[in-house]
Amino acid sequence: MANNDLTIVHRYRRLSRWFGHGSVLRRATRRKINAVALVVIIVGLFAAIAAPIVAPMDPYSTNLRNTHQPPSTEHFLGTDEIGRDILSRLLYGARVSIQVGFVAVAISHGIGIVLGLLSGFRGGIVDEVIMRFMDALIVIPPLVLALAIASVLGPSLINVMIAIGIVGIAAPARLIRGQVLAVREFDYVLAARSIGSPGTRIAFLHMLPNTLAPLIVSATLGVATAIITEASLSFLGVGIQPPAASWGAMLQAGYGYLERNLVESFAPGLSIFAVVLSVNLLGDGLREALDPRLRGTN
Amino acid sequence: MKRLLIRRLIAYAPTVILVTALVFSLVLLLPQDPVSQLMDDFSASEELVKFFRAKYGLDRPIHVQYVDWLGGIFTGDWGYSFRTGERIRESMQRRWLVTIELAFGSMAVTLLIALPVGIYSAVRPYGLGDNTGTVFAIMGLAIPNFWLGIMMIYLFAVILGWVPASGYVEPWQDPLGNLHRMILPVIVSGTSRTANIMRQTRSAMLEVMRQDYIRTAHSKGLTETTVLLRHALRNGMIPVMTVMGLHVASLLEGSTVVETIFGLPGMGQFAVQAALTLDLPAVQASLLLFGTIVILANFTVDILYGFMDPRVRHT
Repeated sequence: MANNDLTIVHRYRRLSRWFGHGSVLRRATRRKINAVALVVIIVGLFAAIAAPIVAPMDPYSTNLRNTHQPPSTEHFLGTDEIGRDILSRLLYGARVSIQVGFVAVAISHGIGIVLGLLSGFRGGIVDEVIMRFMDALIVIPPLVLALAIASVLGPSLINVMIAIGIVGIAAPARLIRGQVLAVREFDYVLAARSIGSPGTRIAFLHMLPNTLAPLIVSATLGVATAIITEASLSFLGVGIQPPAASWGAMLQAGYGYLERNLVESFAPGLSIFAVVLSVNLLGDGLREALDPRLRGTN
Repeated sequence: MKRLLIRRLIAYAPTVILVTALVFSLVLLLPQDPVSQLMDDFSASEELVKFFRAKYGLDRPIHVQYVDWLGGIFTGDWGYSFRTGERIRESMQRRWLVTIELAFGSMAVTLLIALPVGIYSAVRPYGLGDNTGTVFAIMGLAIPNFWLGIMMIYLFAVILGWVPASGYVEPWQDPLGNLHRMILPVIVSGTSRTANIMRQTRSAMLEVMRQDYIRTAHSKGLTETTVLLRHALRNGMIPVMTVMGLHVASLLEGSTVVETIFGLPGMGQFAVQAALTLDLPAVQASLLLFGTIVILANFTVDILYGFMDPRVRHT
């Protein structure tokens, strides 16, 4: 039983490292603005997860006799060009944005971490080849490359995620490589090597955790970039296809009716802005909390 | 200096080749080959598909196609657009001036705002000016440019009627009309970059202002302006310049969205239209051109770096 108690204590400690006094999250939200950002993100996440429950109406049900309605008690944000409830579509749009944000970053960082570890750890020709590929990937403007990949794969939610994921590989790969090079000669790595740990074990068990701090920051900021890229792609027409609700696509549709109903283009744009701003602020907060050298400089 | 130049040239060669390979390999991502993809809509006969496949050389092995395509790129034959049937190089030649105008205008506005504000922020950190600048920078980095563009069109074209909502006239036909139509795109395209460079300038200058030699200059009794302009600025601008080189990519990227919103017939709009219609040769040509421009910009920054920072030259 004592063993069990101990696990609970450990679990509690692990949790409190993240949420307790002086924890990373507490330090990251020390400034009021960062705390507000975290609240916005939590609300956004909640909206995305609970969209089917909290949405006042079906986001796909059209009503051609009730188009371009201004905000009213029935339609809190009015209706769009085919009479769909804008608020409900915004809530469903949050699902798309957040899914793309997380999945695209999982793809880019998943592949990027492995390539970066391989590159930094192996060095030599492996490093050279991987890094030249990353150089090539990074010189084509990411939005344009994502545009091309998404259009070639065919526009759909999953393909947009893949496209945004691919264009994001280079940054985490370079980051991890740099970190690995920095810690490669540290005593604990040499110690692990001297007791005969295999390379993959050293890389994933010893090096990866020590590169975690910048990685968390880069992943957070990556989510913001992914969300804005998805919105851009959907806005341009190669992203999420109608009738699915995506903030970018809603903005694109609303743009045509700027003079009739401003809400149609204002609301989705403001949503993107609020979420991206919040994620960026949280990322900055995390950077300051995780990097002791930055404390007090910015 | 010459050695640096040659060394950098060699270092960039593999990147250039890999970019061409990367761009060309887009064709491998297609679920089916481009001709059948396009012909699907017309329910074309087997022979017609075969004919077009042969016409565009798609019946040959992929590496032969790649070498042929690459040879064409270098000799100036960029192929034909699937969508319009026009020569891609000619359609691009008509368009690149628009993008250049947008890019230079945007960069000029960016520098005119970002540098003074960034420097001022570093000289009086946490003052009113700095804090205002910070708020604008944080917002500018998060605002989606297409939304900003649409809201600006609403305010300045629809409500106030100061400028036309979209369209383009060439500067030598109607200079004033051109300015009228370019002012919003230039601002929209430059917003996030202005925010970014402002922050970079601020932190670079703050870093420099902490250095010993600045304290020495102050204690020699030099005026603040002299210290700032003659001593701090030169070193402070080095990281800013590097960042500016990186922004060439964001300029091109921004041109896609901005040109689409404002109806400017530039390279960005060309790329978007090509992607929307799955016009693969045009997409590849655009990507390659964008990539090449970015590589050239990076190369230039590398070399300039050597000029400005003697430490780089001698390593």
